[in-house]
Amino acid sequence: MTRPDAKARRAALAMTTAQHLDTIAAISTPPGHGGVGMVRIAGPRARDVLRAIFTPASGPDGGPVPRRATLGHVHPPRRPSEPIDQAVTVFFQAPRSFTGEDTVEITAHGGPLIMAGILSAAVQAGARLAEPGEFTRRSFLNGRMDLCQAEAVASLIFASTEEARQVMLRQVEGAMGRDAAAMRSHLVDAKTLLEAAIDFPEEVEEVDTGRLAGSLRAALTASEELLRTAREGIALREGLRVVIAGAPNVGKSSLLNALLEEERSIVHEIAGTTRDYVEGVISVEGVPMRVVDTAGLRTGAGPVEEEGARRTRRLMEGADLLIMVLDGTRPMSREEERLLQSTAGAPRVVVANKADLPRAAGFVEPDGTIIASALTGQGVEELRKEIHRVFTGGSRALEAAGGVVTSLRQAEALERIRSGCSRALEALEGGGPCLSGAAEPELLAVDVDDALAGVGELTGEVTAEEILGEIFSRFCIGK
Amino acid sequence: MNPKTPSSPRFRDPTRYDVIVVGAGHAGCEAARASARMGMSTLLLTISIDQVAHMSCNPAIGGIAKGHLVREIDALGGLMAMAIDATGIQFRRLNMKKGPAVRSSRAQADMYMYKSWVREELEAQERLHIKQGLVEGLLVEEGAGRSRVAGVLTQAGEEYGSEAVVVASGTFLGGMVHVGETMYPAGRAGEPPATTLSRALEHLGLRMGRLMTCTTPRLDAKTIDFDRTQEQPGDEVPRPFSFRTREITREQVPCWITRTTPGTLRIIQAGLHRSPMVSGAMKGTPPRYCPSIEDKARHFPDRTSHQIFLEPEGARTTEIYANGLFTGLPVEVQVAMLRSIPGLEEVQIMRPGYAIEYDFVDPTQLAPDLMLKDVTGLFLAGQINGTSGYEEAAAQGLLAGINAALRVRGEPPLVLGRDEAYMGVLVDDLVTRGVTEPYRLFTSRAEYRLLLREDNADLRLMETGYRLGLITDEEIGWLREKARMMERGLEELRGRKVTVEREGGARRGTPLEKVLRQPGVAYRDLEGLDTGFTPVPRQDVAEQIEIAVKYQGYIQRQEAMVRKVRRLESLTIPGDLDYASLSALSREARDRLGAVRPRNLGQASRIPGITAASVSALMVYLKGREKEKGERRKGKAGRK
Repeated sequence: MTRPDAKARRAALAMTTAQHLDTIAAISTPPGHGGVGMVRIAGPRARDVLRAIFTPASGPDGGPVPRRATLGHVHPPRRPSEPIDQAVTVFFQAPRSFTGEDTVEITAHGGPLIMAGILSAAVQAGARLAEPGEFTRRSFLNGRMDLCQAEAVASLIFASTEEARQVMLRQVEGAMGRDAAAMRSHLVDAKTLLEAAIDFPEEVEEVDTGRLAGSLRAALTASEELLRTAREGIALREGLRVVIAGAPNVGKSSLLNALLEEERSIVHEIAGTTRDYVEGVISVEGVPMRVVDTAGLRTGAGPVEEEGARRTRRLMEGADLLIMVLDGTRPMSREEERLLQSTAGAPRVVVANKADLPRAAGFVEPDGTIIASALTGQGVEELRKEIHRVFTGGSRALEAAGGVVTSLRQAEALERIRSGCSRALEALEGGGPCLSGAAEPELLAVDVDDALAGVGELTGEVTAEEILGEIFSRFCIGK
Repeated sequence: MNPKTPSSPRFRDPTRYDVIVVGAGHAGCEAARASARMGMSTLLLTISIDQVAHMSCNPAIGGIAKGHLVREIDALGGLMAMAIDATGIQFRRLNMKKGPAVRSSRAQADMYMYKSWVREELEAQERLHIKQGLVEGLLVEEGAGRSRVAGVLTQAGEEYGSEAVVVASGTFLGGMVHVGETMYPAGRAGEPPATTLSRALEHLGLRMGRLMTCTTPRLDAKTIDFDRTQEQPGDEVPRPFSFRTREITREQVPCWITRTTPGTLRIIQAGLHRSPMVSGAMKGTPPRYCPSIEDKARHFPDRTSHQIFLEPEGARTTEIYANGLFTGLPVEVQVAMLRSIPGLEEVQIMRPGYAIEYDFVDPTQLAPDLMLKDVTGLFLAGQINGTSGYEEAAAQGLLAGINAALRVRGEPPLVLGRDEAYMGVLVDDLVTRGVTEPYRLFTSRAEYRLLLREDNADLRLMETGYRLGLITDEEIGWLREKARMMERGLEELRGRKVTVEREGGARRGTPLEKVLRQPGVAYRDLEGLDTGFTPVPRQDVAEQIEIAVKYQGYIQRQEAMVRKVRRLESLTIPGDLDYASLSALSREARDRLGAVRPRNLGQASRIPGITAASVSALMVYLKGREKEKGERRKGKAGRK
C-alpha cells in the first residue's frame, strides 16, 4: 500500500532540518511516461532559476509576469541553444503561492528523461532537491495553512478510499480550522467574562455565570463531537488492522477472499495450510482496513504450526479489531471456547462459517454471531456492517459536515480543550477548590487558558491582547 | 554632539555624576533614590522642585494589578508603598470576594502630603542632589556603530556630565494641552513642555510616536451637595502597602458616588464636535481603559448612566477629583455637564479637565534593562515609554535606577521574568510588544497570575532587593524568618494525621494538609481537629500556608507552564542576527523581529504577529547555525 509512513510524515512536520532557507525543486507529477509532467521550484531564487533555464518563445524578456502562463523552451542554465523540451511556465510571486514563497511551475511533456533533465537544469541553476513533504512544510511555516491542513495534504494525496479522499479534502480546505475557530470564539468569550470581572471589578461586578457556562458548554460539546470522529478519522488515514483468527480449517482464508472478493489467499483442504499470514486491503464504509489472515490456532501440532500460532497471537494483540471464525458444522472445541472468552473484552466480530453446510447439533454460537458462508457469500455483507458497527460503536461521525480528527496530535489537542472546559464547568458547579466560597474567576481562568492553549495547539494562537480588546469593546470600562 | 543644544554652555559643573535622572515624577523619584542608595552620586533634575512626585491625575495609588506593582516596588526596596502608607486618607482593598491572587490594594492619597513626604525623603538621601532645571539636550559621544551618553544640558546653559542618564520626562515631551477648541504647549496644565528634549531624542534616531490622555475637572467641595450622593467609606481596618508599615494611623475620610443622568449625556452629545478627541484636533491614541466621557457616550450610547466617584485630593483642601469624567470638552460644556449630575447642581470648577498629547519613544528600542539598545548608558522610564499610571512609572523608574547603577558598577543588569513579577510582565510587554495606546498593567496580562500575588511579593523579590543593597539586614532577617515559619508550618500539616468523619465511615490517618484542602475548611479550624496542633501565630505566615495548600494543584500547573516556557527563554538569539536574510520567515515576521531584536526565542514568540510557525522556523535556523558552527570547529580541529 503506498502510504507515507507516519514517522517520515512526523519528521517532515517536526522540521528537523535547517535547509528550508534555500530554493528547492522537485518533480511534482508521478514518475513514468505521461502526457505532461511538472517540475516545481520554490524559494527566494525561484525567479532567477527560471530565468536561467527558460527562454520564452517571444524571446528573452524582463522576467516572468506573476500568474501568467508563458510558452517557451527549457534548457540547461544559460544554454538556450540546447533545449530540453518545450514548456509552459507559470510564476507565482510571494506571498500568493502554495508555499508563500516565489514559486515557479514548469510544465513539459511527461517523459522521465525530460523531467530529470529539467530538474537537473534547475539544480545546476542553484536550486536544491526538495525533501519529501517540504513544499507543504514551507507552506505551514509561512502561515499559508494551519497545522491540520498541512497534515491533511499528504493524507489527501495518499488517500486509498473515496471516503478518505473526501474527508481529507475537507481538511485541506480548512474544516478543522473552522471548528477550531468556533471553539476559540466560545473560549475567548468565557475568558473575557472572567477577565472583565477580575480586572474591572468596579464596572463589572459579577461574572455572568449563565453566559460563562453556556460558552464553556458550547466549546465542550464541539470538542467532544470532534473527538468522536477520532477513531474513524485516524483509521481513515492510517488504515485499520483487522486480524482474522480461529482454529485451523474453519475457513479463515476463504472468508478473507470473500471479503476481498478476489482470490488472494491460498485456500486448501488440509488443516494448517496458511502457515504465514496473508493480508489484503478492503474498504468498509470507506475506512481502509488491512485484513490479515492468520495461521490457525492449534496446540499440540508440529513445531511449524506452533511457530505460526505464536505469531498469530502477537498479531491479535496488535489488532484494532478481531474477526473470530468458528466452524458451524462441528461443536466448539474447548480451545475455541477459551479463545472466545479471552477475547471477549476486545473489539471483535464472531463469525460462524460454513452456513452452506448442515449445522452441527451441538454447536451453540455466542450472541451476536454472524452466520456466514465464505463459499456462497451468505452473511458477508452483514459481516462488513458488523465490522463497521463494532469499530465505530454505531456512530456515523464521519457524516458530520465539520472537521474530522485524523491524527493523534489533533486528538490530544482536542482532549486538552475538552478537559479544560469540563474542569472549569465542574468548578463552576461547586466542585473545585476555592478560598472564598464560590468558584473563583482566576482559577476558572487557568482552566480556560488551558483549553485555549489546546486550540492554539490545533491551529493558531490566542493572546492576552486579544482578550483585553474584547473586554474594551464589550464593557464600558473606566471610572 | 547634538546640534540642537545651546552652542556654548555658560556653566560646566566640574562634578562628574554617576547617574543623572531627568524628571522627578514617580519614575524619576524611584530611579534617583535607588541609584543613590546603591552608592552612586546621583543628580535629579526637575522642571520644578515644587512638583516632585506630583499626582497629575488621580490622587490615588494602587488598584487592580497596580497594587501588586506597589508591593513589588516595596519588596525591591522602592519608595512608593511607604509614601502612600504615610499619606493615605482612604484605604480599600479590591476584589475581596475573589481569590488572593487578584486581590489588590488601593488608597486615596492626600496628594500635597504625598509630595512633601517624598521630597523630604529624597532630600534626606545621601549622595542624591536635587536641582531645578529644564533639560534640553543630551551629551552624546559617537562611538563605532553605537553612541554613548555622557551627560545633559539645561535650558539655563548648565552642562552636567555622567556615566548614565535616566530620562523620566512623563507627558512633557512635546506636550500639548487641549481644552475644547483651545490648545497650548504644556507638559501639564500650567507647566512648560520639554520640546527641545523631544527633538534631541529624535535626533538620536529613535522612533517616536504620539499618545494622548485626559484628566477630569477638579471641583470645589463647598459647592457640592453630598447628601445627594452615596458615601463610599474605606476599609474598616486599612491594610498597609509596605511590608515595613505595621499599621495605618492617619484619620480616614470617605469618598462619594454619584451618577450621570440622561440630561448629562444629551449635553455631552451636543458638545461632542467641540471635543479635540472627537473633532480630530488631537493626533495621539487615547487609552481604551480610561476613556473620556465623550468616548463613553459615543461607544456605549445605550448606557444612560455612568458612575462618578468624588475623591478628595487631600485632607486640608476642598478640591475634589471627579473620577469617571475624563474630558477634553470646552469649559462651558464641562460646567453644564457637571451641573446635570445629582449633588453637583451648583458646583464650581476649580480646575477644568483637559486633554494632553505628548511624544513617546517606541519602547521596543529598549533592552529589557530599559537601556536603549543603540545608546549606551541612556535609560528611559515611565510615560516616555508609552505607559500610563504612577505605579507603572515608579516600577520602571526603580528598575532603570537599579540598572543604571549596576551598569556604572560594571555588573550584569537586573531583568525580572514574567513568572517572577508584574514588573517583569510590564517591562517585557513594553520592550517586546511595544505600545499602541498608553499602556496599563492588568492581571490578565500575566500568564502566571496565581504565582504573582500581592501577599507573596516579599517572598518573590526581597532577596533580590537585599543583594542589590536596597533591603536592610533587619528587613531580610524578618523575611527569612517568615519563610522558615512557612516551611515548618507546611511540614507540620503534612506530618500530622487525624481521623475525619466522612460519609461511609471515619477515615483514619488523613494528613491535616488534605483536610485543609477541602472547601470551607480554614487553617484556624484545624486546631479543633487535632489537640496537638497549634496554628502559626503570625497572620502573614498563616495566610501563606493556607494559600499554598488550597491552591496547590493550580499553582503546580502554572509552575509546570513556567518550566516549559523557560526552555524557549534559554535559547538565545545573537544580537547581530540578520533577519532580512532569513527567507523561511514571512516578510512581516522578518520586519518585526528585526525591529525588536529579541534576546531569546521566548521573547521572539511574544512579539505580535510572530506565529508559532515563525518561532519554529527561527528555532530550526538557530539550531542549524549552532550545528554548523560545531562542525566548522570540528573541521578546523581536524585540519590541525
